[in-house]
Amino acid sequence: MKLEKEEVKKLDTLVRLGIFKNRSQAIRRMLREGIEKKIATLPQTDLSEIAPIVELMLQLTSRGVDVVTITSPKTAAEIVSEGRQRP
Amino acid sequence: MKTVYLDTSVILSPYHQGDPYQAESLSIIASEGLTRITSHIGLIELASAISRLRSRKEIQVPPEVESSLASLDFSKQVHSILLFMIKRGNIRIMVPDTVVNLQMGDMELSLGTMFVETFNMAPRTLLRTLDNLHLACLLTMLREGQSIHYMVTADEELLKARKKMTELTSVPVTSPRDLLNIEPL
Repeated sequence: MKLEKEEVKKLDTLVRLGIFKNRSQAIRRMLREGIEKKIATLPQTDLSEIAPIVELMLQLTSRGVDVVTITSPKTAAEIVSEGRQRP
Repeated sequence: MKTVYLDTSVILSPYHQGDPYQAESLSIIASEGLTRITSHIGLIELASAISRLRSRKEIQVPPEVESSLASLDFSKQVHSILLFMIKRGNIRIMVPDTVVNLQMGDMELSLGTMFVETFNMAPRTLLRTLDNLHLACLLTMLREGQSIHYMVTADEELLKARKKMTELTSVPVTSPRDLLNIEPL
């Protein structure tokens, strides 16, 4: 990994100030913090929990059961249109 | 085999007993003679529609499914129903992902091509944003080499604009009923 001279200078300052023992420790810790921060900004969607339920729904369908029934008085197009900002 | 781009209304319709296109939409999602696709825009629209229906208690599932769903939070309940609809219909979600630079005077934006298409298309179609996004997805997929023979929608606004949409994309826009007349399954 290559660093710019200015970045190395700043790292050395952090070491001199005693915040880190040496450059390696500084890089390791900050890299770890940076990764955690980045991951925290990403939307997480873990769908593993829903897989068995979806499987159950598909099995029931194959046995002729109506698994999902929409009872809205609106048509499917009208339901979708609510999100399309139609009057 | 013909490929059809399904508008979100056609993905919901098979589950709605009172929907005017229910029987036809059901035939379309059950047909082995069609490849069914939608886009990520269709996916997020579907999540939004199911969320509204579920919060209004306008979507029912059998007791054994309801008791399983009860162990999940609301968003996972919505995602379960959504994933079921996608899997049952064997619908592929296509994501046009080419990024280009949009140059506007001295301003340059890096955008997905479908957003650039939407931006360019809006003054020509006078459609609403989500309608333009669907259309731009369609156009971008075609440009990326995806073969699409029809766009199927139950949305009257889109059906009214079908001539303009077909002029822009060369893809015929049909209702579920018209599709079954043109392509008996």
